Amino acid sequence: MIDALQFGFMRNALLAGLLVSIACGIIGTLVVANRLVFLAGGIAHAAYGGVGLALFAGFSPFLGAMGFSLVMAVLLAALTVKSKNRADTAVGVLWAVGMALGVILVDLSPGYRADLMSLLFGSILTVSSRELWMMGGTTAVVAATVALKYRDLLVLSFDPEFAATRGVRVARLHTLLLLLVAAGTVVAIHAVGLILVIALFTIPPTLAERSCRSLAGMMAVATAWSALFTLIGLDLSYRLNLTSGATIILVAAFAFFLASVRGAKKRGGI
Amino acid sequence: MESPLYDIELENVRFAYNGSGPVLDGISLAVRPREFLAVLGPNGGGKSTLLRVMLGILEPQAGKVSLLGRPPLESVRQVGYVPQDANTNRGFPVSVEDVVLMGRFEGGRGSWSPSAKDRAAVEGAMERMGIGHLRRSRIGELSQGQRQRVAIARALAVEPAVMLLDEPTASVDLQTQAALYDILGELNREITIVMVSHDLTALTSYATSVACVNRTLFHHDRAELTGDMVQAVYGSCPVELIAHGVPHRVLQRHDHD
Repeated sequence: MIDALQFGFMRNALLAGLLVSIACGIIGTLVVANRLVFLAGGIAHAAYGGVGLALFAGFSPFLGAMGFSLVMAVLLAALTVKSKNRADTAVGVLWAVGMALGVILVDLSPGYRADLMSLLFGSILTVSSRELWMMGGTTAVVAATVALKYRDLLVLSFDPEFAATRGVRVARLHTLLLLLVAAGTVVAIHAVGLILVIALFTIPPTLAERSCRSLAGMMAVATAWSALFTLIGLDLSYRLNLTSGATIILVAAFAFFLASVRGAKKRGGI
Repeated sequence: MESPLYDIELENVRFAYNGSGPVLDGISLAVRPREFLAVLGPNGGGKSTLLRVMLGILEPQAGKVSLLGRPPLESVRQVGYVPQDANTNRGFPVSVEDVVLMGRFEGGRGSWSPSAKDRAAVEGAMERMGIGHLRRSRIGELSQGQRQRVAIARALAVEPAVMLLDEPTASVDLQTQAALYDILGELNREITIVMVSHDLTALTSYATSVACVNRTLFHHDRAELTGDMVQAVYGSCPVELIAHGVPHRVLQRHDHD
């Protein structure tokens, strides 16, 4: 792939992959630790409503997805703060409503339908410099927020009830957490698209969790796994002319499978 | 500030989870400083809910709660809370030391990092619970009993004025149980303790008062169960309670006194 680096788009793709890996390493760790996988999936899919809205009203789909998923995060936070588990019906409904709204708005939009497949399944090879800046900015905001609120997030993630007795405003922090998930989703959309993003949120952190003694460590290791999967996936998709997002996910899934088999063997299962 | 007469005070409290019948109803209770209150009651009778209401984690639909003379959320940081299950989040990437340090954490004020005093409190709490050698261990590597010790150390690190414990001996070995009771007895000389428990041995040796919760509450100022309480709280099967091996001292003597 070294020779491919002479192309600007390939350099952009690698940089985008790195940014996505950082965002997914940080956010995915919080998603896995707080058992928010279903909620994160809901936010990511509902973001399509924002894409539709953006096309309909004629502004950037990136901004549309960002705005819509942030609103969705606030809504879902309000619905789920009391009981994370019992709200799963509401999450499922909003998940589908967001997507359906997106499809209808795209139907209603006049003329040329931008390459929607790239938003659904990612197109890391066509990331522009402007998009890179937006991704970089969003990732920086996410990383800074998590760094500032690290202890709060740690105490909340480990034991929300105890966190409440230490003065953590649980409802507020839960909302912040979902807003961060929304921001992370929008960054990751570029690499793997909004349908596949959930895999990058879950696989690298789950691989990292087993070996780490701190949330920060887990974020770092998850970022490294994510970067490795993105790199290998990108290379394979370049050589074999495959869709990059899906290739990245299958590489991650393969590693997950290997780790699971190894884990089962270690426990004496096989 | 004038110190309040009671550490915990509930007046006519009613609590219901969303859309269901009340779990707690018409609860009034006052816990004096340095009281050791044992809270008994059947499963699902509202014992854990009662603790959460005392802490301000749950807000009652009716009635008034005060903790150390103030609304619970204002004073809750002076409380050491040991939640019911220390074994739920086992895969979590965190060391024993960092869990105990959570007892020193102060949320809701921007960024926080531990001071030397915080570190010392954490050391003391780990020492007291005999888990100092496990400090670097991942929480998932510990046994159930060890994890329970960590949860208690975390509450001790608070240097609490009041300790609320939710079935702290439910999943631990006898040795840890004995150690825990010793520590609680010692702490009780200085601080108030409220403990939800199924274990009536604790009641005989350490509790100074007892409350039975089953939606409503019966409070008894001495560490004994009256027949009325057992009847009202456990309903038709007090036998189950007796069969657990209730030491007879716990039950009120009917004739002699």
